[in-house]
Amino acid sequence: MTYAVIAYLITIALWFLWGVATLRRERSLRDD
Amino acid sequence: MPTIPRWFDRLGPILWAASLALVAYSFWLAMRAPIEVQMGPVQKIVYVHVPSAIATLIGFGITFAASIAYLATKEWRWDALAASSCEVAMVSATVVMITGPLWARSAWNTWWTWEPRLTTFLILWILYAGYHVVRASLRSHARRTVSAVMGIVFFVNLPIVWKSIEWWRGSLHPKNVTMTPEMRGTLLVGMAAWMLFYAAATLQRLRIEWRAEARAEAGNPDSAGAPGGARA
Repeated sequence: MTYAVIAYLITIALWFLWGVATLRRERSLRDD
Repeated sequence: MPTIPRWFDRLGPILWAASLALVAYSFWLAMRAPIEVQMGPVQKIVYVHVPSAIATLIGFGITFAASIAYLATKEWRWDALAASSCEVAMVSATVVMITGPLWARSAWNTWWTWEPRLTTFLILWILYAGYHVVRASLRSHARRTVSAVMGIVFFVNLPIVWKSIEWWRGSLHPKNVTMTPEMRGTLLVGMAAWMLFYAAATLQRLRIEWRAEARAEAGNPDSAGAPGGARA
């Protein structure tokens, strides 16, 4: 069960990080 | 100057809401799905691993198609779609590369083995990582043309990944999987959820390309096709 939970948590974390990075990149281009 | 199309603003939130709700629902279904007799609860990784792998292949497939369209038309929007789709597919591929070994440790008693599907998928991951590295290192129009060529050439590996379990012996990935109807339903919902998520993420990523292009046309030509920190 532990491995399954880790797999789901890593999936969520990866997409969350990508989302934050994407929003920040767009904001930096908009603000320039 | 290119402005972000209005339908982006309308469709984006709808896609995000629908995809996040469906992903959450697929997680809930995965939690409630029957526990596989031989592998136990770790088998539930399949409900995120397989949909992510399919989203990866579709994402790189769209990069391939958009790259051809860019070379044929030299229209920057195709390059924007190719790069955006490639980035989202790359994150999906990374999910596959991480969840796979977690599965393998339980199923095959090893984190990694050089069996055909794993090896070809690793090659795929490295190739498209190279796409992003090379793209970030080039400027404006050369960036677009070189990216399009990579998007087309690297696609050759996709059918190899798909067919690897048939073309080579020694594959640990099964050709056919027996699932209960409940398990199959959970997997199908997972696939729909991650496809929708891919679409929402690609649309979101396209906004960066649009802003970079607007910026370039406004007087900073080096930033064309170079969103974010990659602009020269």
